[in-house]
Amino acid sequence: MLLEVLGNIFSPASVGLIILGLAVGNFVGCMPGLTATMALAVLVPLTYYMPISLALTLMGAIYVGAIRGGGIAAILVNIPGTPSDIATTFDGYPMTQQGKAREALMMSIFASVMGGLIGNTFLILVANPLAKVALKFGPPELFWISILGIALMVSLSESLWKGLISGFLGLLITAVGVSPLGGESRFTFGLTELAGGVPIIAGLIGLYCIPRILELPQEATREETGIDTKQTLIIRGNIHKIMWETIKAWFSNLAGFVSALIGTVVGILPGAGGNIAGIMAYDQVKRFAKNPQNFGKGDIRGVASAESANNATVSSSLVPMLTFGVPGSPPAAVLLGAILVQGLRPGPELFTKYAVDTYTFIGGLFLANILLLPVGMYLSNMFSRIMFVSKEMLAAAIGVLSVVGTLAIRGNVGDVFVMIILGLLMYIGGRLKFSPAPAVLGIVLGRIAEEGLTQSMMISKGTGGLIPYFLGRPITVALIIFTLFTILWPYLQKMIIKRRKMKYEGIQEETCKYEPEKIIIGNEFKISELLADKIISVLLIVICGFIFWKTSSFSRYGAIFPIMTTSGVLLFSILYFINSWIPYFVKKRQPSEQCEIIMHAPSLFIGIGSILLYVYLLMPTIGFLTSTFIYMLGLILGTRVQRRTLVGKGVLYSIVFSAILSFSIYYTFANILNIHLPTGIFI
Amino acid sequence: MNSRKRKLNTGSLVRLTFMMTVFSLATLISLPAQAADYPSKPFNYIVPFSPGGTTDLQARVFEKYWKDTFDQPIKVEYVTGAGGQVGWDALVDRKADGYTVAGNNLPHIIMQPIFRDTNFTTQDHIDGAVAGLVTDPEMITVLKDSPYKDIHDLVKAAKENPGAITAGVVGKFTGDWLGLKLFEDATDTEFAEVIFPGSRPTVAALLGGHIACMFGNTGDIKTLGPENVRTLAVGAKETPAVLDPFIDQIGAPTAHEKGIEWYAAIHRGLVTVPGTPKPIVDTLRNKVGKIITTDAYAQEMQKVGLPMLNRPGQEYAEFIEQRQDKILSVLKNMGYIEIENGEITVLKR
Repeated sequence: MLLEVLGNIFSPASVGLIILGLAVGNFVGCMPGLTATMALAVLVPLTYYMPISLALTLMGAIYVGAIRGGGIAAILVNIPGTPSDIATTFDGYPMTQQGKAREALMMSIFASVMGGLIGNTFLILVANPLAKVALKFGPPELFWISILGIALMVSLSESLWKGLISGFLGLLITAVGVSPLGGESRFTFGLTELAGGVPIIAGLIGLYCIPRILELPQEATREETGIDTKQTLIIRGNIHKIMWETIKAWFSNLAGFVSALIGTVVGILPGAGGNIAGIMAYDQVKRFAKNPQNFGKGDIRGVASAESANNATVSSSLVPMLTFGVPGSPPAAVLLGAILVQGLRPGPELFTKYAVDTYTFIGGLFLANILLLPVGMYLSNMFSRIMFVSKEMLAAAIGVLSVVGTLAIRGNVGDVFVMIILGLLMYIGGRLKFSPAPAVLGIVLGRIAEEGLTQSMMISKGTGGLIPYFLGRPITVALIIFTLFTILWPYLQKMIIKRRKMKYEGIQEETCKYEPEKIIIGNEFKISELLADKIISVLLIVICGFIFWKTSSFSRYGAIFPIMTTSGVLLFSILYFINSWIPYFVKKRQPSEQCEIIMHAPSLFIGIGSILLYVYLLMPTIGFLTSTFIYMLGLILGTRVQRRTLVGKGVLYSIVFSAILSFSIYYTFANILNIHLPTGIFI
Repeated sequence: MNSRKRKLNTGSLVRLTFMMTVFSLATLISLPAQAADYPSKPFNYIVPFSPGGTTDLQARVFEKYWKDTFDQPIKVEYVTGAGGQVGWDALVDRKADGYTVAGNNLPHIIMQPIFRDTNFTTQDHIDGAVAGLVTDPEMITVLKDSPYKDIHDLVKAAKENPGAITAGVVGKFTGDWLGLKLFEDATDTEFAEVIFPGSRPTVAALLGGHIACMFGNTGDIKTLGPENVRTLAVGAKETPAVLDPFIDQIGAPTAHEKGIEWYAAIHRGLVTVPGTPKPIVDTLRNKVGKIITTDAYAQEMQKVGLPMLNRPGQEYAEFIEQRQDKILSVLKNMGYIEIENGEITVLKR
């Protein structure tokens, strides 16, 4: 059997398909809005025409490639291509800003390869016992996993209160739509477009992409006027040297290896899996590192940890799928569908009667992980050319991809509106030091937390209540203790260090993130940070009151989760409000009083206005393709006119750029991915 | 340097002209098709549930045979969320030209418009009915090592501890949920209903021993693994043939055989956009009717494990109407709704 399997894996067709799959996957993963799930769903019919093991190998390679590809956009433009790449942005983008994009990309590839191989080894050796462990995670355990995830929000944000507020607002967003367990419509205001809730991808795109669209033209202006140094991709040193250094760096400390193990374990859990593995691993590595203050400022260990963990989840999400038919992630669910369409079924049969096919698939994944090194290196070189595209072109392209990516989720124009609103709020929030990562984490964890809690209540209702139920389950108790430990660790660390009479390095002087600038282009909107803090916290408190009033009409099980999360937001908003008064009484913290929030009003209004015009006026009347072309061209030329950099040749380039890009986007989404795009007079 | 720039410019111009040609050609192609040459372009098949589920499997079975009959392929499109509502809401907004079809589920399309705000109505599904495809009975399944060896063990336990025996169902106001309510009604028991957002999490919870039993369908047996479970009762007149390969392992007697009058099922079918011109709907109904009566299709359905309903065209529309009357009276009897002059008021959720 072994020879047959090896023969299958190393057949020219299989190797060719793996390379093709990795390339497609890298591309798909790199684009926010294009997901591995979509690509795989399109490929299901392939299983009718080719041997199932080959088709599955191709699909597996795409999955591997997509999870790795997400890291490229995270590192180069600070936009995670998939939710699992959020942690990659923390150190990956700062490295790019320091001109070390190459090193970061190389590390992300190598870490992905190692993470993938480690995860795959577990899949080959101990699939069955691992799957049994996964099944032990019932509703209460999944609830506490999500609480653990929420506890991580604290360490993800510069400011404690702001991190918690944005995280809890993220959780609250998941309450919009039909309640999964209560069955009623919540916070939809009678709009059926909101019935399906806010998809994770729409949240990710809104919170990360829209602010970038608004910031990029300003960054360009700053570069041109010499305020910032130009962030170009400098290809320094020879590639082999960088590769060796990366490999040494991965092996020289435990960060990568530990992260891969964490990724493997977290990836097995249905639902939570891949999306939070990167963040969980990053947090643990940072917590136990010798010098945690370097994290978030371009530490290579951060990239190593995040990317090792998320690629390890690829194999581990297949563990419960192959053994019990319970997929660990949405792409694994599509693979399950492909297996079921063949009349096969998951379970022991796959490992006995169909062992050759199954092991060809698993072995194919192993080979895919190895081939990822050369393929990934070649492709990331190619993709990194986007850094040479001018910033307004990049902004226009991201704008179109955000819209079409959100439409691609399920063709719902309502999702696009929610995405834009979230993005606008995030842009304003970003100036006030709110970070998007906790909010996305909240959106990822919200449904898991709500389902876990409500189901636990339903199960324990007739037999003594929730708390005895939690305490009677060993894994739940362990998770509760671990969560408490996570929350209290910074304080424990402080105590230990104090006892040793050492200076705690973690505390740093509060500084303004956005220094007031000497050169002001266009109209800027300025407000003192402390005043802004007060306005925002009062607004939040009022919103909480409104939500409490709304929840009064919900069913019992539909109301619990919104009430709990809103209480969280309310509590933290009050603390935030109190916090904003402290500087008036404490002399030491005075500097922050002088901080000013600066927003570039024209780019804010043009950016948001044009995208709304594009989606809601142009698209339904003249169709997707034509309006996309007009939007891109308009945005590029508009920005150039405003900055007075428009020259004759530039116009032609812009037209060609817009035409090619809009047509290829249209073709990819409408004809390859079968997405329903709006049509009007034209297409 | 100068000459190179000029070269780039001409190149761009050529590409630009090319793009313009493509644009105008593409516009021509998108001109609306006439009824006479229907179908003249690929179909969009909306799957309102996640990839890999039973509705998706049905679409994939059609994908194999559609082109032979229609000369045009189908493109499977996932429009998911809110227990299928997002997909059916999208369907009624699409062009009524006969090129969009969607999988639909009973009783979802009957109960959702009652209990929530929806864009679609049950009447839309009656008007656009293309064919009834699957009848999937509700089944009560427990783990092999469960103390409940027989349906009467479970009923007895539920009578002794009212509201304490946990029963997993997919979603509230769904076929599974209605199946549970009807079972409680038929046996005069009360279970602790534990609602899951989909069939996979329910399966995982049963396998992990977190719930005592689950109300599910035939498709769940494959993912649960027949070696792991026992089906205590099937809510149909006879156990469907798709379970034949597993019957030795899981048992699966009908509730009727066990002396319990409990009948509950989920039905799945195909629907097109309401308001589609009659000749087009007729073509669609006839051709789909042809596909579902072929042997190859029947074998494929047996292979992937979907029990057939086979109600082509108008028959399916009438079937939905019958089910609607039935479900409304059940909900009324259980005190969930009140009907006065055709107006439905929700009394409790």
